[in-house]
Amino acid sequence: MYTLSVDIGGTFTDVVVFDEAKGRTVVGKALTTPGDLRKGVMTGLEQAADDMDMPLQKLLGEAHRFVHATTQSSNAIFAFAGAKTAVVTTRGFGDTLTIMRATGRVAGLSVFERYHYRATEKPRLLADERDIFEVTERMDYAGRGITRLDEKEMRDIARKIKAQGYQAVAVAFLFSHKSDAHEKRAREILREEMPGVYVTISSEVAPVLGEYERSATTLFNAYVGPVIESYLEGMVSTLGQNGLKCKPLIAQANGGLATPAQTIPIFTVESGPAAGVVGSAYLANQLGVPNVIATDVGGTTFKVAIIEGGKWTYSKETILNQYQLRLPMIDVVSIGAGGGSIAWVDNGRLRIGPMSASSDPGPACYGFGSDRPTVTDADLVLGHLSADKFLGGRMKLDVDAASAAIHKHIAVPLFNGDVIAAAAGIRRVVDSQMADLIRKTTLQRGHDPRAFALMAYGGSGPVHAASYGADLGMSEIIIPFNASVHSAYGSAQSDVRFSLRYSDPLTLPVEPAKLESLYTPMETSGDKLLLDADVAPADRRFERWVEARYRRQVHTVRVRVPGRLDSVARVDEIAVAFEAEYERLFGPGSALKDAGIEMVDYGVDAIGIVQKPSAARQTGGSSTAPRLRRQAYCPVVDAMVDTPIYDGAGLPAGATVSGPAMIEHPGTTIVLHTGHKARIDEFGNTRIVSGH
Amino acid sequence: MLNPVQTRSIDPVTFEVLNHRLMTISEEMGIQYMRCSGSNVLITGNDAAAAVMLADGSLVSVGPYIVTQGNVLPLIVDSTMKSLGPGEVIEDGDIFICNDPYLGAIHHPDIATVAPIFWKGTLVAWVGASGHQLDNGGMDPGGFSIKAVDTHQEGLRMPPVKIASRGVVREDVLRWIRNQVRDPLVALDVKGQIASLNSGRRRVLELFERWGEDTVQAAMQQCITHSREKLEARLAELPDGQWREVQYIDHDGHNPEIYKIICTMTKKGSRLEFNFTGTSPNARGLINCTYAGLQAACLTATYINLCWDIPWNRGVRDCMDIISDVGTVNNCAYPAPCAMATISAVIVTVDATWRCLSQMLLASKDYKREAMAVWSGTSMAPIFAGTSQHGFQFAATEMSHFGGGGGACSEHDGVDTAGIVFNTTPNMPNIEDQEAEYPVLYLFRRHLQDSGGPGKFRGGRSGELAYTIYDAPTGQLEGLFAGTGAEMPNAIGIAGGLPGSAISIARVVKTDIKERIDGGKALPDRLKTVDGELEWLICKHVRSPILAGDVWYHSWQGGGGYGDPLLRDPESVATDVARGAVSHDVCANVYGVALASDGKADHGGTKIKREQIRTSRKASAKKPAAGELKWSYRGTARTEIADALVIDAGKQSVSCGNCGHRHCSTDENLLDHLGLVETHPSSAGPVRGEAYDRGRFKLRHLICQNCGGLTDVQVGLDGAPYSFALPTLT
Repeated sequence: MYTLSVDIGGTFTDVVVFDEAKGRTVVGKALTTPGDLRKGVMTGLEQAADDMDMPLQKLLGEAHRFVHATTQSSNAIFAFAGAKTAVVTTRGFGDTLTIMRATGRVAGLSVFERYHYRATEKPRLLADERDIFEVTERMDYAGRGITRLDEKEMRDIARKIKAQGYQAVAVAFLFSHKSDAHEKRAREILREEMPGVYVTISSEVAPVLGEYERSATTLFNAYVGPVIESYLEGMVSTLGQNGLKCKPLIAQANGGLATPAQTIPIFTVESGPAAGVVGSAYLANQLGVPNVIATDVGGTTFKVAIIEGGKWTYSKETILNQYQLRLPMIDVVSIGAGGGSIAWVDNGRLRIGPMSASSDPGPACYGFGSDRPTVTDADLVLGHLSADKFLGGRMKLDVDAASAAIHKHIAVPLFNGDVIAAAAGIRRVVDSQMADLIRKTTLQRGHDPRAFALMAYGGSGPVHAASYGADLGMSEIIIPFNASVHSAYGSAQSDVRFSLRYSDPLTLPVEPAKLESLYTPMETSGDKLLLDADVAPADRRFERWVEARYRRQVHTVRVRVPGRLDSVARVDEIAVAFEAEYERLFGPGSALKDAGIEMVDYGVDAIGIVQKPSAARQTGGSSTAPRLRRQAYCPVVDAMVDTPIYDGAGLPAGATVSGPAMIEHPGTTIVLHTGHKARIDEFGNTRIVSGH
Repeated sequence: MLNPVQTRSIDPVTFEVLNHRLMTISEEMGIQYMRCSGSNVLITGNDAAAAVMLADGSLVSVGPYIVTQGNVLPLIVDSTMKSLGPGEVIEDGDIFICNDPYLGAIHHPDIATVAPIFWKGTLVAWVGASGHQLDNGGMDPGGFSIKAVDTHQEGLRMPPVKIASRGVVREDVLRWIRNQVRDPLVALDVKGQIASLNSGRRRVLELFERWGEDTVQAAMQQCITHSREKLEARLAELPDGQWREVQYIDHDGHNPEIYKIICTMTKKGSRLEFNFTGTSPNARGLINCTYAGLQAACLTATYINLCWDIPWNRGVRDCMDIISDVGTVNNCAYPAPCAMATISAVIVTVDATWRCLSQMLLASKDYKREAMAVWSGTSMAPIFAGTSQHGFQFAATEMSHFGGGGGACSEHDGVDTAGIVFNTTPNMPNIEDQEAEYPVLYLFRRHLQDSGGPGKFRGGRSGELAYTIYDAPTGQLEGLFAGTGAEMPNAIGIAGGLPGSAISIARVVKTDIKERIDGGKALPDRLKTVDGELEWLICKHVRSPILAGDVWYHSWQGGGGYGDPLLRDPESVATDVARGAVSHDVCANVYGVALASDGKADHGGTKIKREQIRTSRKASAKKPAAGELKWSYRGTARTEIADALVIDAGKQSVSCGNCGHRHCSTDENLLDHLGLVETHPSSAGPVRGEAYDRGRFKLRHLICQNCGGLTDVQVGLDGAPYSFALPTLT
């Protein structure tokens, strides 16, 4: 019995095999192959099979679960490689997707980027006026028809779209979330006129109030739809040919899984980072540390997610290429700060980013010709990375080049030529910016970071976590076992999950039956989806939520809704929960009760609990001696100090390591400062606390 | 607990850490305030700001959103300290509230609160927040009292008052405020400000605890010094010289009078002077602004045009001088009304200073790529009020005009529906949010064709919309409109670019809309296809009923263009036509582009058309009559101003950048050697004031007499002085 998990990232395709009989995990890591992602997947799987001394056919044949997170939709979006897409809208409102509520000029940009008006612009449009067709039809705010869909006009538009060679069509009418009749009829006509062309309607993809976001979500779904459909078909058939017998499950942005047929294409976007959060939540629950801030430091971005009471939260809005989308997506906040961020001097100030060295030429230490110093160069100069262990030793880092870059651009102008002081400064500034993002993210969500443990993964997370964690005064830092394949690990811990949504602004008090009537259809749909995903009735769960606000406010707060709203008292519970959550977020006294509470969006998460591979206990190695010792910087004493370097695989469960020290793992290094104490727990995770 | 890393004194690293944290704190305060606000203007338009200040009120860091809002907070702190009488003290835990335009606020609807921060018993800093409220009493709902003749008619006007005393919110003051305004949700907003100030204060105090007073004070000072030094260095790199721009406000709420705002900007070394001598006196009605608005306008234009990579704080103010007479339309004397300041005198002052700054950038080889034509030159308050389908009273401001057109730049087009200049984070409402909340039905909302100022690079498009009553329980609503820039456009182009669209307001009465809705028939999707009696409304339209079936319409300003439209790539014009951004008429007559039957540019035909336009420009040119004004150039170097002029001190020549024709020598008056073509502004495209025409405004095209190329295009009131750009040649 094996569970296989495959996560395709920008650089690497990670494979994790859970061998439940033997209680072990096997990891495969291959280079991602952007042309045909299947190649990298098969290479990674073969690596894992080789490690297990069995043919791939056998490994796949004996897998009872196969989960897969892919970047295919992100690739299509960021490379503008999606389908040629047409949009059909309500007459009079065809410019919704080009006006972009004006916010499209700056959506997703940092404050500093927004300051530079001249350099801001709307994104390259996925559909402009030439691709957008207006049709006569109109619904009112309550979903009552004002003007019927003009079917003849619709048919003419369908023929025009066909003649112009569009590969996908998005239909997004006003108030279609209240009544989908016109959109469905438009889809029928489109399908009659142009069979085989991908058609998607907004009332199915994002049935929520707000036409711009709903239309944008639908546009993106159409844009990636044909790409994802053919990708999934190809993947399923390749896996089948190689012996896979179970139905593969696809990771979604909501942290859940769905079958390929059930996958709404755009819902797979950013599913890798979402899976990382699921893995963190799973680990948090397993370790009995329910409040965790999950952080992922990669080459160009720093990502933060909050897990409270063992649960993650969802974001209300997703920004892709400056478009604002409404997707069921785990709330992950990100800034452009990572190993590749470039350090520079600005009128005596030491600045880091927002420019970033991409992989080519990359940081100076890659030796590909760049002389701009990056965070990774500083890490190397400070002794926090081993020059010969990068990418598992496949690439040797050039310490001299890193040092020269820092000397020229930072040390000479700001630090009297002291390269170590300059490198330490770079680290300090970037660590502090990461701490600021964590603090802002947690405070904005009504939490105190000190009440959380920090979890850090991704290639650079363990290198920096001790610094930004200390800055925040957090109680404990957890570096997960297999921190560099954490998303693949997380996918395997995911349940089947469908997020159903509906909008209908209603002010409390509301008749219980009325409210119940909003939830029942969502649960019925969810139940059907779970059935289709082969989830047994006993394993089906339904979680209800509502997003509410004080009357006439814009921002909503999400609260859980008790199941079965069969009495006034149960409806009252919603008001109580809302007010408590509101005051938690905005402080005591911030509630304005006389304004009334308005419920806006309703949702049901239909969950199919799956049996997860139990985390294997790790015995680890038996060597507690350092692999070597070298000089490395410790910020606590502000000096290079003699530092032992341990081989992570060699440390047995229960081993403790005191800082200053470093523990090397494939793909990352855990850095401990003076006063930090690390303990390897029975699952192989590294737990760091202050020694005081 | 993990032991935090200890620090010593202020060094580049500590500074950077604290600077980032101060920025984060002001951003967090702003976000927290916005999240619990009940004001749709504030939320939809992000019309708010929050800031951290020194003990004397100097701005250290300001959060994103509305630029002008952050600039008022230092003035409010100053007024708070100056207004204390004998025995009155500022204590730990106090919060002061103020919305008096004569004491620091820009206009009455912007309510500001400031809170002192005490560390070990000493006042060490302030935090503040300001935001636009739904209502502030007065004659008309929504904050804009069209017929007010003095500021006392404009509603609640609070000097600095303690809304919280020693940590306790004064419910009596809150009740008093609520008593003065039509909408009780104002109280929710004030509470939002209090919450955000309290958390900002806590966060700043954490810095003092963690880093010590000396270090934090040094870092805050250094934030300001850094900005000042950086702007000084930038100014030193830019050419010295003098620039002047004349801009206009039409209608004061009482009379269709035109008010001039004249900005003469002098840049010498590292200093910038904005001199408003010659600006019209106080207006009778609500369009004035006080000194608070004038300063905010100068800062806004400077921040955006020169400080894209310089933190926006006191250090910027330290580089500039503002010279203005009290008793003028953008520095009005008590008790002149000024409720509409932000969207009349302030924004038009931004336009005037903006164009001076952008022309200075244009004269610099290193900075010309940063030059932008004026963005959507004005803003507006289209207000509709009544009883909603949900049974409550409301006064709503239609915020779609927050999608104004962006100004064209020297290397690319302006952004369509880019935003309003003073808002770093623009936002327009969804139609669905509007209709779900208010008893209206929109017929359309789209980009306004030809609204972007024509040019080699086109200005960004603005938009237009129309709505009617729908599901209103009382069967009617009331409409009110406070706008500026209907008779003339304010988004002026640069380097020969033409202005973007003006605003327009109309209603169509006695329509068949109600019958169409009742009968399930198709609704019109253009103003011209609405069947009924069309009436253009003045831009300060007093409260009047909106009856069932009436259609109300408005459109707002596009961005100015860059460069002569005859220099625009014909394929770009063809694409603009295919996308509906430019009409066939403007394509042919303004851009001079001929299209083939497949919609692509016909290059041969275009060449002929453009030659015809040049010839006709030359034929209609006369001598500019600019009075005493002399355009001559001093200095020692060669300066190119876009494709318009090459000024060469070495060769003693001023010549056309397009054809090379030598106009004159540098010390002659260039104006004597250029041709002047005067037309109505609507020659730049529709919606340039033609529906409001009183024959007062002309588009002044200054052209090369040899090739007919545009050197500069200005919007001029008859008899008003010319704008100019006279860089020193360095």
